[in-house]
Amino acid sequence: MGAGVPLVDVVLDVRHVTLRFAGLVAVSDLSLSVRAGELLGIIGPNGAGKTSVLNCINGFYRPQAGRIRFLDRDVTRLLPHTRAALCIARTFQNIALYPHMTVLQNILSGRLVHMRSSLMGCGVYWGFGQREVLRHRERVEEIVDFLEIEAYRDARVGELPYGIQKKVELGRALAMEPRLLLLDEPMAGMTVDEKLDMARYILELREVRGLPMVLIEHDMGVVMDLCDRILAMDYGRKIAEGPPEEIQNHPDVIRAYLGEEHGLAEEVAGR
Amino acid sequence: MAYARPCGDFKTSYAQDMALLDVRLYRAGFLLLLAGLLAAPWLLGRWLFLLNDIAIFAIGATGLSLVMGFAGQISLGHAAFMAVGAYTSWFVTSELRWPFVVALPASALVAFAVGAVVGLPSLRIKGLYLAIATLAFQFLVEYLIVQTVSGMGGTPVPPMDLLGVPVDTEVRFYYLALAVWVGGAVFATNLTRTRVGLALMAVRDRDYAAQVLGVNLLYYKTLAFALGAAYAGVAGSLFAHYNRVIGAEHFSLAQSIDYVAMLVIGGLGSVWGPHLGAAFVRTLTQALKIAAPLLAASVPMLGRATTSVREVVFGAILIALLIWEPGGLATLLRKLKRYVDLWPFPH
Amino acid sequence: MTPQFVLEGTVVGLAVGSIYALIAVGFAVLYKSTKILNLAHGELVLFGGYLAIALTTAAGHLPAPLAFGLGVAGTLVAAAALGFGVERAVMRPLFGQPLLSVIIVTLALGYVIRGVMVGIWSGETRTFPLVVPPVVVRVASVPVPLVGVWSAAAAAALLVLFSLFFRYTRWGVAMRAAANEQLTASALGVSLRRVFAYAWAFAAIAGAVGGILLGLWLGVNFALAAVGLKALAALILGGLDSIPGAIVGGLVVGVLETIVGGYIDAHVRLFGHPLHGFKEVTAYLVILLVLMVRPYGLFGTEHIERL
Repeated sequence: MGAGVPLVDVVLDVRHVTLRFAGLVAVSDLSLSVRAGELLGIIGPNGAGKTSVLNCINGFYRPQAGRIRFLDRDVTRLLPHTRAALCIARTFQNIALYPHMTVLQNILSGRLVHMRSSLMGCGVYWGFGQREVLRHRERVEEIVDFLEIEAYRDARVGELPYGIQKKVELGRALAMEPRLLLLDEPMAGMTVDEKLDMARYILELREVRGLPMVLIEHDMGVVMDLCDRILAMDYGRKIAEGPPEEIQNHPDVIRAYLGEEHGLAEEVAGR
Repeated sequence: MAYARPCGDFKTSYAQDMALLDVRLYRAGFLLLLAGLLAAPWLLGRWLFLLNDIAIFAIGATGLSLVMGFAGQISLGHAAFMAVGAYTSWFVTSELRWPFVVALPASALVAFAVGAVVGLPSLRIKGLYLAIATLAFQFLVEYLIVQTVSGMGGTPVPPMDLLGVPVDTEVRFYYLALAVWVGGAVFATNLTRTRVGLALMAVRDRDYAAQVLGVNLLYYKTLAFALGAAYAGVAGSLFAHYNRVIGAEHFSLAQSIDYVAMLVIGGLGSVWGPHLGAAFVRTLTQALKIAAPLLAASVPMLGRATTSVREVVFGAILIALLIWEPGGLATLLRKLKRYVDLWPFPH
Repeated sequence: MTPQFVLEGTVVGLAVGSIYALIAVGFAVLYKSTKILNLAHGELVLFGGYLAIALTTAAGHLPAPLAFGLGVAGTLVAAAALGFGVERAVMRPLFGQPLLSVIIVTLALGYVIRGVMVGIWSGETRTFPLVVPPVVVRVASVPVPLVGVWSAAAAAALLVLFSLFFRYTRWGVAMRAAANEQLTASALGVSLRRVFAYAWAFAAIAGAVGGILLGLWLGVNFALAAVGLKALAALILGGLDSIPGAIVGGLVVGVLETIVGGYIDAHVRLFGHPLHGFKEVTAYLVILLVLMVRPYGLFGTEHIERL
């Protein structure tokens, strides 16, 4: 995509982040980094704090301690929409599309960070407003092609099947021309075919476009196959970090997944 | 280009696909509607006042549709913004003695500013709480009007003058109101298909997602309120000079609820909704106003029961619509459009 | 503001406030168990006041206390029936609809109820036939009409009765369970339909009793519907989902509007205009201030969003 790969090696750098909710420690002294073109996986049992980490990165939660740098800029104190303007895109665990808007409108809304027309320009439309919308519309069509969802263009998102919605949500994130993409369980609840499709898109984004990504996923097969590096969490803490082979056999990871009740229950639910 | 059916008809550019009236039949229909509106003084004769009344409230309802239908923020104080516009217009023309061409934009601007201030809390206050806050705002404005400017009576407003031409007949007012109405409606419709509209709908549908996709919630929620208020301000200004007297009862809570009713009846989140709703609600109001005394005279047994017919009929229509056709008249229109699209096949 | 003025305001304010509290509790129970904010609550208050007066007057040939008792009993039965009816005919078909639709439906419902009442009773001020002798008694050296004392005492007694109901009876507990977690409660065998129906009946009864008590004291006219909104202010102040909050909120609103509102009413001028009737808008100012500073009220629970 147009934004291109930045020249810095470390795209995202999270240092000693701690997040608390009224007594509950969701994330505890966690550090991680994502390098250019890298796909980092985050795994861990339910309630380990994976989504909270993403929420800290895109600014929905504000950590009580720690710093977050994105492309050599300190973003710890920035509001979510300002971080989005730096092109950090994400998808959500329980699909957070705009249900009453069409597929096209949803994806077009991902282009909002790149739209510049004024209030008057929008209201008058003919002229600058129209040219701008049409220009962005072309980018949206590229994404629709990429995700093979042409048939659903004008359908309201709320009425589409789950698997398609997941695709549209990825499309909306891609429309931002992200420099970092956060994927929160993009394959949860999908059929095998849909999972394969999604894995294909993710691989293409990594291989062809060199897009740095953070992926939370419960399907271990997918995580081990796709990711360059994996970070395992439990109770808000990092328990291991390294290449897939290493994590797979890491004693702490195995204990976190199998040794305790919540791990087992989650494994059963995840299948 | 197909004449009626879009089936099997291919669009060759995105501009065509984004066009508001994408089939020749609809374009013809719209032109016919415009022609009808232009010829209305001859068609309606002495009933033209109905259309003037509808025009004023349709402008106001268009504003509320931006706030409620597109940005999804509940407002139970829309009539109060109309009051802000009306009293600004009164102040500019009557106290400052400036012409109406200044008063109209001034009303829009002042209402815009007040709307922005009222909209500010919408970042922290959501849903129910916001509805209650706007309700409180409505009462405070009514109270201020009664206590400071108008008292229990009304405030006279000077007649209108458009660059030296007195706007002193129903017909003249009609063409002025029609221009503002169509202009305002087109502006709002364009907003809904560009940056502003997309952002507002994103806020409506899922505000936290909108936020992480780069939508500044505070800015857009405030903008929605400010824009909505500006439309109400314009409606207020027109109303003031049309009615020639303004008072608290014109901008009461009941009027705010009427606005909400217009939107619900017309269809929330549809560009046609506010116009259909305003036409329906105002026509019904005027019809009942005319019919109630006749009814009371012919069936004396009903007596004073007829005075409240409007409220009961209104409430009943609202409830029935929300239960059976939550999409309002606009959805019925869309169903009709679908039927025309697919004709002669049933599905 | 003399100490005497504050003392008088407090006593009278608490008396009025206890009635607001009663109405607000009806509001709160309905909100807690159904998540519906009933903007027709003021109309339920009106309904109670008008109907009780009409029934009492109709039974005027009986001794006054008996007529009044019959009037109240009839009104309570009618209010419960109205509550059940509204739930069955209007609210049940709307189950699961968006917040906006439900709010608008309650507004529309208010229109209908009020319209019907205007049609029947034409909206003039009406008073009860003499039930309580029109004497003035002294409470903490402050003169208060006996009616006020009676109304306040009745409201307080009912508040106690209600809290016992919610604590100890089967349906009270079921309603509290449903308020906490609708799905869990229904999985555990609580019939949500019945809970909703009871909540509506309860809200209508509480509103009607409030209308009767205020009517005894001040007479009933259409301005009384605004009391529904004062109860809303009480509820916001206490926190929408807190019943003790509704009670405290009601008392505070009563005292505030009597003291602050009464003072501004009499002494403060805006652009040279005296602010008559400021008492009536004090409640709305309370709403706005509370929403700005502490949107979840004094006792309400803050809602944390999860992604």
